[in-house]
Amino acid sequence: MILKPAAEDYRIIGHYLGKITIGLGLIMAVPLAVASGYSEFAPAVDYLISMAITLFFGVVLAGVCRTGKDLSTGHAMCVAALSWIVAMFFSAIPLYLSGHYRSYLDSCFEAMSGFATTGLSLVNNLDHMAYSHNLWRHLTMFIGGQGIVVIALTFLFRGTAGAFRIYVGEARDEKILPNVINTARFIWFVSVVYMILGTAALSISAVAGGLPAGKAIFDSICVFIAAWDTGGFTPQSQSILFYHNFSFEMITVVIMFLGAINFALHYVVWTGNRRELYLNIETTTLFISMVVALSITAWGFAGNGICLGPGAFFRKVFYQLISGHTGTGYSTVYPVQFVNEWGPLAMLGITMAMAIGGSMCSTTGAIKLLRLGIIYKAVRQDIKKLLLPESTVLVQKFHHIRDIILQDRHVRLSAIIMFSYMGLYLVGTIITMFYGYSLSEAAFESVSAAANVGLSCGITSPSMPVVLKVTYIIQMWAGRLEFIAIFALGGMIVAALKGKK
Amino acid sequence: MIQMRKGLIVKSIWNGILGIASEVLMVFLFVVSAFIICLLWWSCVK
Repeated sequence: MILKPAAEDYRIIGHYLGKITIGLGLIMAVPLAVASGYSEFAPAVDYLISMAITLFFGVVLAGVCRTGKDLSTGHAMCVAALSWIVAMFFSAIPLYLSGHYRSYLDSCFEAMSGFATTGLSLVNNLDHMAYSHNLWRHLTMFIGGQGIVVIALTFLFRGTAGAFRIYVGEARDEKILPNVINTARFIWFVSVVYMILGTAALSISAVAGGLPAGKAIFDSICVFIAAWDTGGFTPQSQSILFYHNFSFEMITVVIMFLGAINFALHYVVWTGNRRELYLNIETTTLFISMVVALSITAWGFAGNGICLGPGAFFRKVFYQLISGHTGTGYSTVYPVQFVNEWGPLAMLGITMAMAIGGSMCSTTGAIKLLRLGIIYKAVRQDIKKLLLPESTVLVQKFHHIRDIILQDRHVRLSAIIMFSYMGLYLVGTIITMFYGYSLSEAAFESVSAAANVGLSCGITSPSMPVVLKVTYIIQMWAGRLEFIAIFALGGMIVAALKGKK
Repeated sequence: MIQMRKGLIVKSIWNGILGIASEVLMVFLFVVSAFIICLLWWSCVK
């Protein structure tokens, strides 16, 4: 029997949702300050209006639903799932007011793409967008990549027991330090250290490549944010291709890689256990899957009779592959080249890399390396069991920060999430094919949206059908939250409709 | 006591620097191995 949620349940969810909305409204002060600094008066008004609406909604919601009770796991999951939707609607307001989007739906698509760190974009005339609006697009990536809830945990919650539950709801289930608030703060610490180093390296490279210092620094900040949070927005419409700069590309490769590493791994390496980098199941799986995907892509190119030199192959192929594997979506080729030059087999290689994604507890989406590694170990254990005498007791281990004995619950959870992702990829592919695209194009775009990558073979554009826009928004949302929070929200809605008092 | 605390801070900063260097080195190794695959591909196709 399903029980109908009580009024208190709605109040708890509303209260925490209100708090998170207030946090979002306060962050809008950053682009407002930038607009004032650059004398962009019209965008400044856009942010004043958006801030007022967001803060008003947040304060009213938190006030009306005022409660002293802490969150249960179910509440936390619903807050995590709903906060991304609410954040999308409010963050889309300044984007829509900028006049760079055809409709409010397009700006919602852009906001969800930012929060989910996807990088697919429906913006018009990006090259002439105001600095403040461009920064806001990238800030949505930073907020989403770091985790809307991680931000709230760091600044708005004071050690509540429910805090960890929302953190889990946002698909970050590893507690790096014993206290979840300290975990959130460590995530910020790593990000800020790499932000200083990465922005400096990118700025030097951009200035050496001929960009004026002011633009080089602004672009470097935006590019760092999007690369570190494996997002994929760029301040220019031609992605990283705009810079035509080898050192700039290589620095972004390093940042993308580091962004796709587990924060728990950063922690153990930074505290002295450097061997972990070469023993961890995630880094070894990344290396193997990268080699396999690169080989498939190379085979596809050879089949097409295209002969690029090793340098060009490295820049044009490896770059997209690593961008796809880490879930970033930066590109050094035009979207149509995937269809016209790469061909189906090479596209399959990169689609596979996108579908796997990066590490757990990082800013990437998709199935993730740890789950793939666990399923591989489980299959290996089962094959071994078949070959050995029946009385043999087989213990399979995997190394992730420490040696862990492989248990059924690890395999079951990994398999559930993996099959959910497969289903999400498949549904998006079928809907895209319904609009006349080939299987390889539809799978590429669908996986790119659901795995929060952002590479496009040309399907995503302001003129694409409304159904596809909505499908990709849902894919980005579900892919980023890794289903559990969404299943919980679905359960709550069913209980509200059909439950008994 | 203050000396000990200073020592700990210096040690953790040093560990952090070495940690960042190891992470960058790992990425470098990944990139080099990818480039070797690119070279092999090129020599086969050529």
